[in-house]
Amino acid sequence: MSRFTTEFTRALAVDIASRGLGFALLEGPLALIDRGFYNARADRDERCVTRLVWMLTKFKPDVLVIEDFGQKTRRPARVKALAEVFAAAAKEHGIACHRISRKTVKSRFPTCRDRYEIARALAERFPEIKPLCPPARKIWKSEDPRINIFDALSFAVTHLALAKKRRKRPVADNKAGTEQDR
Amino acid sequence: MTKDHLPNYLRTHRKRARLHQRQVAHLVGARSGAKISRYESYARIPDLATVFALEIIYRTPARILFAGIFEKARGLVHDRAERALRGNDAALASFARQILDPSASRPAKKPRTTFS
Repeated sequence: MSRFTTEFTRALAVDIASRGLGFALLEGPLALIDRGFYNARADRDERCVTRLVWMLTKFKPDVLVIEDFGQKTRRPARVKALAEVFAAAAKEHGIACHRISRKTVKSRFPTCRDRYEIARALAERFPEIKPLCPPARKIWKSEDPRINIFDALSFAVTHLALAKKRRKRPVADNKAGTEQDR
Repeated sequence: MTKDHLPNYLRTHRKRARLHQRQVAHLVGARSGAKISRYESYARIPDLATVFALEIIYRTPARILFAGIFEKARGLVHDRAERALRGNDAALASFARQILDPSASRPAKKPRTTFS
């Protein structure tokens, strides 16, 4: 982390789960600053929002990255509403909120078939979280909460990669490219 | 884009070292991990002896562990040095110039001729 003279983007990504909130904080595409899973069982929406506001205040990120569910999503209404609340909270704190769809994440990891393979690819890239990498889920088992950390991390990594691509691209074809990314 | 670092990166380095707060507390000489938690959540700033202990534990210079505090201190010193340039003290102004532009005052490196 010897970046004293360079600028970097601090991105906080969150993944909303049924049991709480997975999060990852990156400073540039290579420095994983913090990650974790916040467990919230009772009053989970309220507690998740409180936690997010606490993280926004503590980490002061440049951008909040959340999942773009799209129109045809089968995610519960609670999750979709919570994502809207998160976006509003970020706006209130003067922080940009970007949405990344699972399709875009998959396009960044073309060799990976599912989220668990993406998690393994991310664990190779960030060795400090290798022990957290969950085994592939069996169909009779419920989801490992650790996968939400990797989901959040994949959103952040994808966002930073796309942002870098946009910066490199000349101004003339920047507009067309933004649409393609989506 | 930002240039502002977080006050410290103790949690990042602890996670990289795969240590628990309790283990770091033991190495630092604290009674429990609560103190480490307060340092990591920016609620308290450790004393100098603890800073050096953390530097040894994480094998990382203090200026990187406490990047935000370092940047803040450097900004303040630079502000004061700029004020000193406009002051009456010539010796201090000369020194302030070196602080603001360290490359100008640094002597050129001599080529290495012998290997010991």
